[in-house]
Amino acid sequence: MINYIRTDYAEIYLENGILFFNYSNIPNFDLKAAKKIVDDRISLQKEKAYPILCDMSAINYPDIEARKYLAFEGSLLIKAVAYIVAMDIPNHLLDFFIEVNPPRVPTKIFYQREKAIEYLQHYK
Amino acid sequence: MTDHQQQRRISFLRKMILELAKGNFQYRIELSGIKDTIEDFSLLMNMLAEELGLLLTVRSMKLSQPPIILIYDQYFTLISYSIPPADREKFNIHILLENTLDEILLKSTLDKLKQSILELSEDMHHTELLQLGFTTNSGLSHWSLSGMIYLLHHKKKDYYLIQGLLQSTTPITLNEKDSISNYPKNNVLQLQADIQKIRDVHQYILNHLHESLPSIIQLSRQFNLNENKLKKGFKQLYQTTIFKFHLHKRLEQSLVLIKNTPMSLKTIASSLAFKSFPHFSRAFKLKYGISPNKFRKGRK
Repeated sequence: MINYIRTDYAEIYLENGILFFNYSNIPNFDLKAAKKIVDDRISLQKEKAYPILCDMSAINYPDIEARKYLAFEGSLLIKAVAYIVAMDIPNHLLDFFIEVNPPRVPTKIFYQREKAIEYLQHYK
Repeated sequence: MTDHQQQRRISFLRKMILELAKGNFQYRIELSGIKDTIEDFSLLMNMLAEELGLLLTVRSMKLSQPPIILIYDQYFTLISYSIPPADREKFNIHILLENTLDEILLKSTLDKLKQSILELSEDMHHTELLQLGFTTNSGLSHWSLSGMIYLLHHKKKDYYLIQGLLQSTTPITLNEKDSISNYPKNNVLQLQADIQKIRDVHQYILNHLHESLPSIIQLSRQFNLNENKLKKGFKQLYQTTIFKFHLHKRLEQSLVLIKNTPMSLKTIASSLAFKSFPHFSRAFKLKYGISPNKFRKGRK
């Protein structure tokens, strides 16, 4: 079974029952990019739902259509999400996204990868 | 970074606040790429402008203003239009008639429009809210239109129908007092509290797409809303009925699952609370013009 994908938008892989999703720097993060991202993730998962660790350190901000798409279609086959943000950047952008588009699954923001993985263990 | 550059970046933030106050939701702050607090606030302001643009367009539509309709051919030449009397003074039709659309749109919105047209060529039912910024008189005046674009076929030719509302240049306030005084008497969404409850229903439906839809009576009890207000209010706020919204969102999710997973169609139908496979198949065909079976086979 293929459990690793690398595209222009992200690196996605499965490890120990958690799906790791590392965003690349996407210069023009629009609806087309959002659709491709969701398609790639779901095709890797086949039909199984996973807890997801989403590393946002490199991400550029998605435009409004991309944000709406990620908030809805982007939550398919997800048990829970742990977002990782870089220590040197305030996480207001992620707060904005979560406040305006309330997530449909348990969601938490972390600065440390280990803590994020620990949180996701409960949803495996 | 020099003090001068920092001051310049802060001046963009000030300008954004002023533009929002004037009702211009097209303005975007130029980003520097530097990771600091000013950049963080600049991004937040850009996203706020996008969200407000969307929110206020929906609010304007609720007030039942007649829309502006523009029909363009594939070369972006205006071939027909309808402009409500109230907008005729503000909207300079001669500029539209004398120029093709790509000559008078701001570059950022032209790129967006072209992207939407591309999406439409792949899926003619694709809908997305557009904010088109126009510029005229060599850039001396600007105005913007918020609305939707549709693809029309006639005698083997493509036409683009743009339907939207002229964006106000005066501030539109969002406080409760104003919203009451500005609303027509028959408007059911007279209080922000009701609007919030209807938004909660919307979110509840999104969170429970794998379950059958509760009855309107059950929903109105659960969210402490009058039945009539819930039905009419939902329609005003989201331009669709609760039933159709629940159905279409489930169909959109089924499309993503059919495209990207090996899940059987029956499993997809039951996981999204369709009563039976034939019911799902009929609804899918009605929305996408192709049965789910054929759609999946066509992708293999």
